[in-house]
Amino acid sequence: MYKYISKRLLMLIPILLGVVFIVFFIMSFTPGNPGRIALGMNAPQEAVDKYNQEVGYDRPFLVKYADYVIHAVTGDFGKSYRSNKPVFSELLPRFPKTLLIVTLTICVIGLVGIPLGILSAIKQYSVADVSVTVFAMVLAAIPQFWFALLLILAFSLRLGLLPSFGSGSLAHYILPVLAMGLPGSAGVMRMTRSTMLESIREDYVRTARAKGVPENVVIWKHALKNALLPVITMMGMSFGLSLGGTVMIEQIFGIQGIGKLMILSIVAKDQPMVMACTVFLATLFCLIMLIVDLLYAFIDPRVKAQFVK
Amino acid sequence: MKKSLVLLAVLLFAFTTIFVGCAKNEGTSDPGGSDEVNASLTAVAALDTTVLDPTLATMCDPLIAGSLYDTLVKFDKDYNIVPRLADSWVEAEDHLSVTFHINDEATFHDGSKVTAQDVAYSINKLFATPSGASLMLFIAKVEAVDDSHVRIDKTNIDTQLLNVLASYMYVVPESLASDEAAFSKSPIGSGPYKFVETESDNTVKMVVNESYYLGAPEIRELSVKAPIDPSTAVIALQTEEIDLYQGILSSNYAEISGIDTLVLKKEGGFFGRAVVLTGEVFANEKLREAVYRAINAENALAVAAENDGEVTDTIFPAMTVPDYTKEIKVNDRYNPELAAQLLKESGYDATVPINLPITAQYALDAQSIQADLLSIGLTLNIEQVDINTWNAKMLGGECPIVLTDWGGQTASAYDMVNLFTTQGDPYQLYSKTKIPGLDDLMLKVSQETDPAVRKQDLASAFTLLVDSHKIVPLYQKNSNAVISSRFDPDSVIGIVLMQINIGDMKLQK
Repeated sequence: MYKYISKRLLMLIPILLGVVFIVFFIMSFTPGNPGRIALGMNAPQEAVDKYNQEVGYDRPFLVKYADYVIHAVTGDFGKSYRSNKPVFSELLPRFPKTLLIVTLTICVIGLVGIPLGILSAIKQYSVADVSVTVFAMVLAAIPQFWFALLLILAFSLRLGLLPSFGSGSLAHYILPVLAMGLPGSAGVMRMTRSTMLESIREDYVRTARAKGVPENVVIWKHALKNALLPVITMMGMSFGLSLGGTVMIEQIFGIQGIGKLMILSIVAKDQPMVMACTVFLATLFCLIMLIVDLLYAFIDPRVKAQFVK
Repeated sequence: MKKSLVLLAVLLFAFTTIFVGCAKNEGTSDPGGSDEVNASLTAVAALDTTVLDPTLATMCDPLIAGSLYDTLVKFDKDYNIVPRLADSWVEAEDHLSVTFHINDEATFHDGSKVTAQDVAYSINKLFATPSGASLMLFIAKVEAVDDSHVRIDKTNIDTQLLNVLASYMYVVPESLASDEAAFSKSPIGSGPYKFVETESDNTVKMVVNESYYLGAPEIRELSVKAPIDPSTAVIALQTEEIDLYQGILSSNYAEISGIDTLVLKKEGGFFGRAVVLTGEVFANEKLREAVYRAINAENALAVAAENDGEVTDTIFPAMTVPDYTKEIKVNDRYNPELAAQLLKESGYDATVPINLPITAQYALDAQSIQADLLSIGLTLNIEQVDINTWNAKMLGGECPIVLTDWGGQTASAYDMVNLFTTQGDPYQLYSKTKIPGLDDLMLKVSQETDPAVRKQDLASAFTLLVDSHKIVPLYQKNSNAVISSRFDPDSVIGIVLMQINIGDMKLQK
């Protein structure tokens, strides 16, 4: 098991190098002069040139890339062009907010998607099944930003129950999490339904029923455990998608998270900050996918057996 | 296995709790919360402020900087300059420097006296930052003459020094601000509000400075929240989560105007939108005339600004160059019939589209202009790009037609005209195609020391610029602020500059 984890962690290195290369390439070849961005259109050319020299803007791409990687390995990801502060000193304080949104979103996706998917499967072709299917279709079709605004209008403006923006208390997170979680649960709902339908038609489920095992035990113990594997993968993927989704949701709800910082940095072409955000989110995503793979071992004895070997 | 799953769930919960626990709880007002008439105000910043020392970055939002710190002078409601930290000032005979006297009563929040050395230190420190470097265009040197007098040398005779000082130059205590880490945690200024804390969502909380030398403000508690989207702000204003927001969309005006608890205040003046003709369009005189006369400013105002502003007939905003309002005026410009005829005479192959690279904010103006030009038979190829690409295209001379906003409180008449000369436009943004005589005239202006002669020459330069038909004035769009009706809207000053001074705001009687 430890060997497997070590191997996966080592695989992070080429993945991150690839991610850094792609983002660095895109950022380097899009127009925009850091000196001009940092100092403004009215700044004297000498000041702009001096700034560009300091940040190494005029060097060849590969030299800049190698230099960035070498510094990044030592923990130096550079200073923001906008604030002139080390990038992680701005990024890390924002992480708890983004993490909270994403974690709660995953909880909503799981708590809504899995039970409704199961219900839909075990009551196939019933009113409940059709209702859940329609509900899932509608949720999947709704654009997140529009759904977010609808939630604000309903729960903040009309009902006055929840704050419309900010991140000071848990109440501030309810609307953003619902805005991301409910549309996100549609996929999990459909996936759970289809894997459960496959699962409950398997021989071992029929055997369990024939042995007189109560129906709820058949569903929850025998069928669900086998149906969950692809759903867990999907939940892991949802984590990654939700990380990306925070970019828009944090903007709408005025949450000072990494997503909002990314938007701000992309607009300002603050390359060190965009790079730091990307590397950070990519690392996080890879780690989450590793955790998902490890979860397999707990759920599927066949996978666990492979690790033990 | 069940145990393992439970353990995993507990670990996940603990992981999340630890990270969330790292963030301080805020305790912001709940929607529909206390309705008591109070003297607290919650505003939304326009800039994401991560640095509270205004001498380290020009990104410190003016609502925060203007509350914690003082500038030497400030704007009144008519945008005239009035005293703030400096109670008087004298301009040198050569008009190249101004000496300010610091108000003897002025103290920082820790009780120490504000000195001329603090002023010189603050301005010099700002110059040393990357973002402050461009301010050296205005100020050549700052020097403390003695404890209460500071002399500031201008870069040239026309520099709008007082406006620059009112806009950007906040004063910090030299003895404390040199320790940047400590100062950024608990900043101290001499302004009308004292710093309390920065909350986890970047809300900066302040309380009134009771011993403010210009008199304690009526608003006792001030919270400035991080920027939010205008659409979210419109709802937050209605739920009374915020009391002041600058820059709602004009499409939300109707919604706001129907609410008793909110007041919408609009102002225009310092900034104007215009079209500048350069490159091939300017070089071909008949084509230039055709484009110049075909653009309908009223259409642009209606389409792009939903008539929220005024069509302008001056090439620069009159408030920016108040001494030259007659010279900057354009007469009898719009004439589509003449434009169509001039296009035919120009010899330009109208089937070849002219490129118009724009950023998103000009998309509707571009469409309006595209329709105008199409009506005379000329095709515009609109290319919407991000600001960095646009800058690159400008520098690469790929913008024969430029949509731009200009003006502002710090631009002098000299600066405005100089943009169109070789010496004042090192990147050749606008001056690649020359206006005959303008370079020489502006060179003469730059060397002239007699203010009267200089003014006369500048007037001639403006006339040259107007007559060249290089600039097509469009309109002045309104800036706006929405304010809770608990406050007196007449006391809200600085809307057009996005620089409202909370210390001057009054409660509604």
